[in-house]
Amino acid sequence: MGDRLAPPVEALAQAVAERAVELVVSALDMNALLDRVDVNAVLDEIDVDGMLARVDVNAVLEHVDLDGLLERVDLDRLLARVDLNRLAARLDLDRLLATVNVNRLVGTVDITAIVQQVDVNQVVQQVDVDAVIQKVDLEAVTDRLDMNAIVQRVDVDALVQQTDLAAIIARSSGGIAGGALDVARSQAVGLDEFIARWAARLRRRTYAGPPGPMDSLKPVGES
Amino acid sequence: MIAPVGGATPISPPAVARVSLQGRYAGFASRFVAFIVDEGTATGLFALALATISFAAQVLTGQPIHWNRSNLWVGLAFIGWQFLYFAYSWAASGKTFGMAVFGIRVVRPDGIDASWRKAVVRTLALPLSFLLLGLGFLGIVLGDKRRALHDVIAGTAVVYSWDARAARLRFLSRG
Repeated sequence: MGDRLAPPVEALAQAVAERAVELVVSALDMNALLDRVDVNAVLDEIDVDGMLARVDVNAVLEHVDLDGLLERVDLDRLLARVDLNRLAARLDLDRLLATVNVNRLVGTVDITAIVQQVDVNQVVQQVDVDAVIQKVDLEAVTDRLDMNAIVQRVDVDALVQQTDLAAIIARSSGGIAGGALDVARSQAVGLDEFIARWAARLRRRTYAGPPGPMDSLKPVGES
Repeated sequence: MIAPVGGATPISPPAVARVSLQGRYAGFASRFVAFIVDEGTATGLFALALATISFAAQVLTGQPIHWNRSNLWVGLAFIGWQFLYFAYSWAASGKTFGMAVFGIRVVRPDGIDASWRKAVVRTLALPLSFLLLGLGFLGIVLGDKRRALHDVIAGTAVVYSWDARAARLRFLSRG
């Protein structure tokens, strides 16, 4: 019996409640009511942190139309208001650079295209080569050279093949004979001079070296 | 480059070789040693020629020829050979083998190359310098142009033909 009466009663009660709420709302002076609300106190009561913690930011962002939002932003006006110098002063460049993957960055750069645009001749003309060389510590450079490794890289066989050994041997043989000849001639000339000095002493003359055919010639016009 | 062997000290040329002597009148020592070399060369070649002839005669006839120094023909041949040796050398290049070794040559007193006529006269006059007890060579020591008697007769002089300064540079370059 009870189960049969419940649905009509519930429907009636809901209709009465809706009507009552409608009457109350229409009777309320919302402006007066809001004037009486202390908004600051209400906001103080709100646990914003807790509320934000419960917000699914990703879900919110998915609903946001970023493109549309950005289209409405006047970037020029925004940037004009930014104090870049102050911003740059606050940047920790070292920390920023530490996060940059330089190798990856360089890998994306077309070095060849950049080099082709460089006027190397003009760059070289502006370089003070003498000053650069003076700054180079050649001794340090040579100390770092592995001469043994360099010598080992020399193709001695090819070098010998390109060398005219016959000419070198002939030249060295001629050098030996020529050396003996020079010594013999020098000794003979030394004796010549020794005799000539003594002869000049006997003749009471000053000896000034061996005479020659040109010594007897006098310049034109000289008496 | 020639390295000294066994740590031997290299021979250094005399100080005179530090200047070029080319074209200067040659002194007595150079000319004398050159003449000694020439005499040795000419005599050696003559003896070799005689030995060759003797050997050839032995091969052909079975009997060698025994040369005698007192033989007139041998003496005349030797004199002829000496004349040929000196005259031809002086006429052809102005220097004999010995003179080439010691870097001297025969020229006119003004330095110009001597003609073949002067070369012949010089060769013929050369014995005179010896025949006068060697006094013919005194001009080389005491004369301004270092000329011997046979030079004066032939109208020649002897000069250095090598560059002593270049030789010294070569000497130094060899280390």
